[in-house]
Amino acid sequence: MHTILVVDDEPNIRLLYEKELKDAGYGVILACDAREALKVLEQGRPDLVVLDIKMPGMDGIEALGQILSRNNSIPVILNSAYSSYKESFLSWSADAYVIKSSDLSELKAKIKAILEARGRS
Amino acid sequence: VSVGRSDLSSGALAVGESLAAAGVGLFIASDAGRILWSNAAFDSAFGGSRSELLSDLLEGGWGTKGTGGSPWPRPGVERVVRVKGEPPRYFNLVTAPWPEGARLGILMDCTDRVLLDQEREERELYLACAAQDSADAFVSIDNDDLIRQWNDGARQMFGYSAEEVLGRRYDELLVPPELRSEGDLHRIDELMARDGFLRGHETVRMSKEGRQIPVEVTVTRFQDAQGRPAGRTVIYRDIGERHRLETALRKTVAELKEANHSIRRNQERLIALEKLSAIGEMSARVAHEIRTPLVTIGGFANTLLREIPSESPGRQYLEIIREEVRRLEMIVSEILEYVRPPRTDYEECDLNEILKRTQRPFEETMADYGIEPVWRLMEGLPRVKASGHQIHQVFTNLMQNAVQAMPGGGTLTVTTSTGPNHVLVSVADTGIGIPESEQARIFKPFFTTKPSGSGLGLAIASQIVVQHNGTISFRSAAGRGTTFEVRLPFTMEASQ
Repeated sequence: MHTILVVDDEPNIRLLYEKELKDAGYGVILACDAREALKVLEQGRPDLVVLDIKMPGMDGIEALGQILSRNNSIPVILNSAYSSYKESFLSWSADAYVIKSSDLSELKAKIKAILEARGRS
Repeated sequence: VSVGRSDLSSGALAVGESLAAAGVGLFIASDAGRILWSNAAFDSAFGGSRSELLSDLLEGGWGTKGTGGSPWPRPGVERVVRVKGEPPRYFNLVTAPWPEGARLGILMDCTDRVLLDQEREERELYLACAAQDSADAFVSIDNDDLIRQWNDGARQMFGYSAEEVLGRRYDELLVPPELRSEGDLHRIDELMARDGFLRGHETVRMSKEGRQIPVEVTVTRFQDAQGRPAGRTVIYRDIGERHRLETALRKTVAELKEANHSIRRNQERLIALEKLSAIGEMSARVAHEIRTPLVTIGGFANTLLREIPSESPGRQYLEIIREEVRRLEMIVSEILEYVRPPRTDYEECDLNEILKRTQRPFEETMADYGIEPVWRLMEGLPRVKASGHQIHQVFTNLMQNAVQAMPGGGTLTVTTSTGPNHVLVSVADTGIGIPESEQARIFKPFFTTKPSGSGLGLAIASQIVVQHNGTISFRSAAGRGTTFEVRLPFTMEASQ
């Protein structure tokens, strides 16, 4: 079973993603900010990170840099209410950029595709 | 006075002395000018400097020697002679025959009159020179309106030589017929009658070739020696150059005013833009804030939909929640698209390729509705410098409109071609058309005729095209369809 680290400052989003991803058959670890996420990454080894961008403290783009500097093999999906970060070249190093939507099928499809690709390689 | 005195009769002597007392000089001279006798007045006229020859006493002699004939003036003809000495003095000389070929001469002092005449002549000469050489036209007109004097300035201004105009009516030559019938001369007459003169009257006169000359007219009356009105002197000054300068000045002033207005308009536009941009920023913030709760509302609705049994009555309410949230999310996306700052990273885009890509998501719906796509893409279409993503958005919105306008089927024709400096893309449907009453508003944000539309599709399309220095237009007929035309320049500077 793959484990997914969800990083988001919104408790309801964390709750929704936890429920949906567990139902989809993933293990889920939650972090409410970037600092906590980095801590989780030191301890365990999730297979994929779903990373919010707009968060108090360290934002998702900076967190992405930190994550990749420690472990550049872990796939990261940026997940934001904003589309503007998509054009920032800093976000290009993420494996995918999914704009937040009530329809989680795009996010789930991206997770599945990335994990499958990793599994094959 | 000794010469020939003995030859005179005592009567004549008495006359001579009587005339001398009245200041009239008398003399008798031989034909060659030798003075035979003179009276006291004659002697005193020459200050006692006696000579036996008249020619020694008179400046330039007394006669017309050298031209043949007698040097004496004809008897009875008055002649002015100048007497040698300082200051010069002038005398009227009249001669009469005297026995034995001699002459009797009578001299009367006329110095004062001669000097006065000279002074007047000089003055007139100066005046004439000034008038003659002036760039202004000096024209003298007599009581019958006939031209009596015509200076060089008049010749240059009006193109007539003096010979052509002297003795002719000035009004027929110089005053344009339409002004004559309008009573221009009558007005001048009135002013002359009121003031006795006319100064700086602006009107128009006519040259020999019929050219209209804007002039300033000054008129003064003059009188003859007896003080009777003899005519008037008219001075015309060509004010064409002044008029041109005034016109140029007025034009400059108008241009400055217009520039001023334009600055003010731009200022107002900038303020409006600033306000819009503030509204845009706020809308973007609000939209982003709304998006997160929408994700959880709709997301949990989806979760519940998956979990509750399909026959449960609450299911349809959850479906409504899900659909309404999707609609809200779409509106939020469109608002964010609308308020997005313009991109400046343009790339060379092949519009044909973007059009093909745009059509793909609609293929299924088009087949369902029975819409037949017709492609008329120009081969080798010039590339356009643009944001491919945004142009894709424009075509998507246009195709979406076209498809939605033809729920009962029809033809969607997509055409590309080129104009003088732009690429033209037209998207034509054979659908319901846009009612005339709504045509003026279709590019306005939040204007929609569809139950589920956000009213931003065409507003976004128009905004993007304008940011690309292009134009978007349409023509529509109710029941026959709508054609949208997008023109994008080949080469463009990204608008900021």
